[in-house]
Amino acid sequence: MKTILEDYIIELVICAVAIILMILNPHKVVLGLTYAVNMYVSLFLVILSVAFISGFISETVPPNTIAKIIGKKSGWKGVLIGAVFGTFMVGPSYVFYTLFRNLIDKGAGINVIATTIGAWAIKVQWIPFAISILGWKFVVIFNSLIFIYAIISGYVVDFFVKRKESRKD
Amino acid sequence: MDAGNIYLLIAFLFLLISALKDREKTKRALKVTGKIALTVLPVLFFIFILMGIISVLVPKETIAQWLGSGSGIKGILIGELVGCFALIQPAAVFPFAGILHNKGAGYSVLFAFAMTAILIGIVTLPAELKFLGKKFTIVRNVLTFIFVFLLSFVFSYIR
Repeated sequence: MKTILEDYIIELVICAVAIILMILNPHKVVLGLTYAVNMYVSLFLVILSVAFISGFISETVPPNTIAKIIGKKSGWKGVLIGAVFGTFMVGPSYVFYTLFRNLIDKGAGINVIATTIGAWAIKVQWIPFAISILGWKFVVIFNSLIFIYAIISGYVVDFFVKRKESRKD
Repeated sequence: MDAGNIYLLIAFLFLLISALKDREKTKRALKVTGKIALTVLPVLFFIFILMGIISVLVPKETIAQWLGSGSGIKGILIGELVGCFALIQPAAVFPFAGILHNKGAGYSVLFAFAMTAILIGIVTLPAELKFLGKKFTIVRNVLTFIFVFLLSFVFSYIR
């Protein structure tokens, strides 16, 4: 019982918060739930795809290879791969957290993963549109700063999070 | 969500190649997939419910109002905080920022908002905690908040 509670504590807390909000705003529950179900349905296959990509990588790509490409010792090349990867990824980043976990467990560097998440804020597919409404100055500076931030944040997060801190199970 | 189809395609291709090459490995990969899906799907389900309720409670007009209510350091901080709590799809951040810009919101506020909206999500924090660990989550988010604050100053000088 205790382990179940520990494993699902996060879900329970979210659930509790959601229920409290629903009780406080009963007339908006249906709208909120519709939104949730719609989003869940539209992302369902993406979540499954990402799960399969993680499963596939963990079964077919040897940890050594992962460590070599994006591991601690991959140096600036690994960081650059992470930054470019994050730059071109689409979709919400939280869908990919399991993939990242998997990669870290298989030897990917914490710095590379943190850089990838940081570079997520660069939305390549939106750059033309963003320029047209916000001007090129904003967009160019915005994206360059994010790129630099992503790389720095990789190193800082890595500095604080030691490898053995990764989940025990 | 069209962009998501890319992942569907990639996963399908992987599955095809893998099934043709090695049945056993494919089976094992599918088993791992099932395990991963079973951990992700419930968390995300609850997160989406929370997102749904909050996004109904806090409409975009309210967010726009908050963002227009300050400038300077206060404006940046408001932008960051609103970005942390705002439930806005990354793809919708720029169009939304465009509207705010037309309404007169400053670049530094927009930058603070857009950055934190994409990089920090109070509601998706549980997923990050669960999969990437306590330390990673705390350090990354605190760091991002500080960085965005500093970077926003750069934007105060752009007109």
